Amino acid sequence: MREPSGAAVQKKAGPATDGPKEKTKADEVFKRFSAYPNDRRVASDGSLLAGTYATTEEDAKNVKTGTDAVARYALPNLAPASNVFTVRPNKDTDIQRGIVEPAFGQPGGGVEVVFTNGTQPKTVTGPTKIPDA
Amino acid sequence: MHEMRIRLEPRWTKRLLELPESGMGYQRVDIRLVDGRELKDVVVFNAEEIEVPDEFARAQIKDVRLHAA
Repeated sequence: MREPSGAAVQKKAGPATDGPKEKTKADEVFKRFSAYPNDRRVASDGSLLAGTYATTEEDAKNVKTGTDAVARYALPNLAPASNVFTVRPNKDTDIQRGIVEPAFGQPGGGVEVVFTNGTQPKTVTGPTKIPDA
Repeated sequence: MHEMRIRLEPRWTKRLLELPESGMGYQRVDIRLVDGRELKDVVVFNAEEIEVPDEFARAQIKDVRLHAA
């Protein structure tokens, strides 16, 4: 996109809820970091509830510890988010993407994805455990 | 001011799980108490734990709603 002057317009980063509505691609993978192994947003049928946040598999590669996750996703809970759930939604699942803004004394900067209508049964596995710090 | 973490009654957890998160693993909520007091923009972890000032630790909750940003 360009301004009338011809200068390139930088797309402003913002939270996922401000992002455009998208559909997941085939075989796209997401990760969810949680301080809780019994994450309540993961339903017993292996789906994510509507309005649940995660991040992209690519962005998750920046996170080596639960403490890294707290900083990158600006989590208010200082307990390390060391439980990692893997999400493999069906193609064309509704999402919005954004960039985590600084909050709660944390820098943010990671990619956040919200599954506006959740995911289908048997699309979530885990958690696996990463080091706390 | 000291804060302590308390566990919500199951009925509030059930309500919160029907509502969207505010970020990965948490929701920002407003809590109305039975005695008329209100706690604004409180963070709930995993739809079941909140941190509140000590003085609210035994307060009875009347309603929980998502905080409007």
